[in-house]
Amino acid sequence: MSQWNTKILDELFDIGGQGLVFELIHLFTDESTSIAEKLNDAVKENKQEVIGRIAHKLKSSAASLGLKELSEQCFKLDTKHRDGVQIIFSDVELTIQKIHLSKKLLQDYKKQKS
Amino acid sequence: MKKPKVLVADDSESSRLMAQYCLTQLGCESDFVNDGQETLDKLKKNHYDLIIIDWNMPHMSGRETLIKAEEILKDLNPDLTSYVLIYSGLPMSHLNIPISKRVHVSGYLSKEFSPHKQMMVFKKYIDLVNRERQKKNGESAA
Repeated sequence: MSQWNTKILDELFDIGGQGLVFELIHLFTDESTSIAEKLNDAVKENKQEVIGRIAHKLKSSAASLGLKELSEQCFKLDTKHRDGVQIIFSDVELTIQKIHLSKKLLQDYKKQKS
Repeated sequence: MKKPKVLVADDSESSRLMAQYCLTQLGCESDFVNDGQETLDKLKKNHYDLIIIDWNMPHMSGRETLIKAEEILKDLNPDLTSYVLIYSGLPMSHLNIPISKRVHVSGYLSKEFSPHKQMMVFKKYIDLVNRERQKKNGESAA
């Protein structure tokens, strides 16, 4: 699990306890399904602006939970968009895979801590 | 002494939640808004010691919001000022920060910072606000 940095979650526990960590996990898992759908729609319609905006936001929220691989993938998309480089289907497909994997990791983590 | 009053403007619910936990622990009274327009509406009704603003909000960017906030505060009460902490996923060198008299951009908080580091940055600026308030209270008492 190279993308999983539990140090970040440990720090979140220090600050807000289980309440904060579980709520952040809930927000991420709840939002990520619609984010994946929006990314899928945007790439089909070649809406580069929408993909760039979603990647920018997701980059930060993934990093805030220690989801390094997802955050780095979003950083690549965000940078491509800002540099005016076309984001292609495989870029988005990989991002969506990482979103689903991240969701699973977070749900497993929550189960462990419950 | 009254609690420091903080306004957090961010369209990300998770960022608002994180800020809420940190600011509660630091003894602040905080309001939370989703976008630039809601920020301006709040500023018309309340004075905030610190404004924490996301740079990349939909409809109105953090930069546009601060420029409009300066105008609002100038009309409302020229003596009132607020510190501003920019919250962004971009490096500070990428931000075109406006120069203003009433909304002092005094710090930068990266969304990439670890939770402990974010907490430290929040604390640094709440301490700054508290010192300023103590100084003002001392001056008015003298």
